[in-house]
Amino acid sequence: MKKSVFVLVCLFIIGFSLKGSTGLAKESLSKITPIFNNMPNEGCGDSVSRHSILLARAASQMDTGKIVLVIAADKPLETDMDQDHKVAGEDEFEEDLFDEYDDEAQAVQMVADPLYYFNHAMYSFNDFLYFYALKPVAQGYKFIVPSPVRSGVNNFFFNLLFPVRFINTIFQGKLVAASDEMGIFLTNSTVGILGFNQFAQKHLNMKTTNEDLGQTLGSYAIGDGFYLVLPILGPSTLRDAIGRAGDYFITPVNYVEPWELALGVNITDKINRTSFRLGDYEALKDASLDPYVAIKNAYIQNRRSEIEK
Amino acid sequence: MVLKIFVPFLCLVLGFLPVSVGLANDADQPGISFEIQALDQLRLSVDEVLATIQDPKFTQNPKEQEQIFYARAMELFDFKTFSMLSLGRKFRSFTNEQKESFVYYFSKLISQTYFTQLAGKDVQNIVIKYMENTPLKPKKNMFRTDISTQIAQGEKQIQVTYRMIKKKTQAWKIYDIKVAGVSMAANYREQYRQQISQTPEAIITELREKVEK
Repeated sequence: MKKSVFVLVCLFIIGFSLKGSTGLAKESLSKITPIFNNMPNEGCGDSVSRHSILLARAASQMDTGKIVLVIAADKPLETDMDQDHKVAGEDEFEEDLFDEYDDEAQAVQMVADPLYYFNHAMYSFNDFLYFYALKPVAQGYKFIVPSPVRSGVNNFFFNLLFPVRFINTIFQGKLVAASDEMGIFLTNSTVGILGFNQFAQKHLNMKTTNEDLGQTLGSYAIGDGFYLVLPILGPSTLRDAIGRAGDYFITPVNYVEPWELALGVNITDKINRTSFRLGDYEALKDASLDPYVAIKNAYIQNRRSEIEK
Repeated sequence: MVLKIFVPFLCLVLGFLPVSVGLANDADQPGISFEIQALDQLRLSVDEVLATIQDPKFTQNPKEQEQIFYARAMELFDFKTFSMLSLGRKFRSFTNEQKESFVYYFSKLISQTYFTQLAGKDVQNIVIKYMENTPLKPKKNMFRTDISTQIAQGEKQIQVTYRMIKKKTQAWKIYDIKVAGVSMAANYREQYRQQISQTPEAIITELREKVEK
């Protein structure tokens, strides 16, 4: 019996020491390779001097007991030098990359734009509205209202949209996220004083996700339908517009009476939001060759990534 | 008795389990040490760029500052691959000279876009969190990895993923940026795809005018 206990202990020790050493090797390799790869090519082009620099640097980082690891680190050095001689055809490299990107691109292109003329007109309208109404107003608002207040207002409106996020996380089967949303809402509405302060996110390290009905429908593998630019609201798709209409009914602000007040609240929200994003739209427009196409593509790519989350 | 025989065997299996798990992880992510290095490089370069923006030496002279910014961008980006992916298959119909000038003006455009976004902003407020480092399947002669970051400036938060590539003995370089899930290269490619009839010359001229505006 004593013997078997002894064997047992020995094997455990062997096993764990081996585990430890592989872990160490991995860690040290990650330490050395940056050193080695960041070395300038000129001046130490020949493998001998590169190698000696590597050894010296490695030795300074580690104690001598782990010299085996230096030999391990030597391996990428040799393969790297080999590749210098095997200059692969640029063509092949290009082909590889293009193939991959074609698949991605195809998926985004699939969203048709049958209402192109209407959409383009709406795009121009929204563009005009932004530069001649929304932007100047938001700029003035930003100038008058100090940043903490604007953040507070932003948080308040975000908190109000809780039903939309909550119901859609449930619809998507993300029950943990849904309970988090509930916790955040309860915390922020009370401790965070009606949601003006994002106490849960700041101090309890909780995270919200943006969920809406469009994303829920997307997660059920319902396609985009076609591209649609809505007046004032901006880029959308048939699916997302339907989602928006659905979300309208679970957005508390829309139940405010009289309707003028609800509209005023919505406008305040819009202006407040814009005050944080001044310059973003201009940057996107400046960087693009065809802003209409750029915005359409950006919208669809962004929605895809949101649905994937 | 039977138990006695099995105890050492069990110990052997259990003792070595961590080792085999460790090895299995290695096999899943070939060349992981390379990708760690990509993160180091990115972090270093981003810090350098932000330092350039902040440096009071340069803020007096925006022209010079932009030049230095551009030089940094040239080190950090693989503009050839970036341009290639932004132009799509049309790139192959370009002559070498045309390719070169396209890459040049494209790099200027990207650099300018970033510079105008950063210059004059309170860079000190920017907090960058490096979230994940996801290596892509390595191909012949190249390693790639996606490094996702969370960039926060005040209340504004945005997710930015840097796609990095390492070709042969070169350093890691950025070849695409995904901002809130939107790949810049894919976005440009879609724009170029819609302009079917344009000749290489016209494409370059358009880009040049955009940069020099």
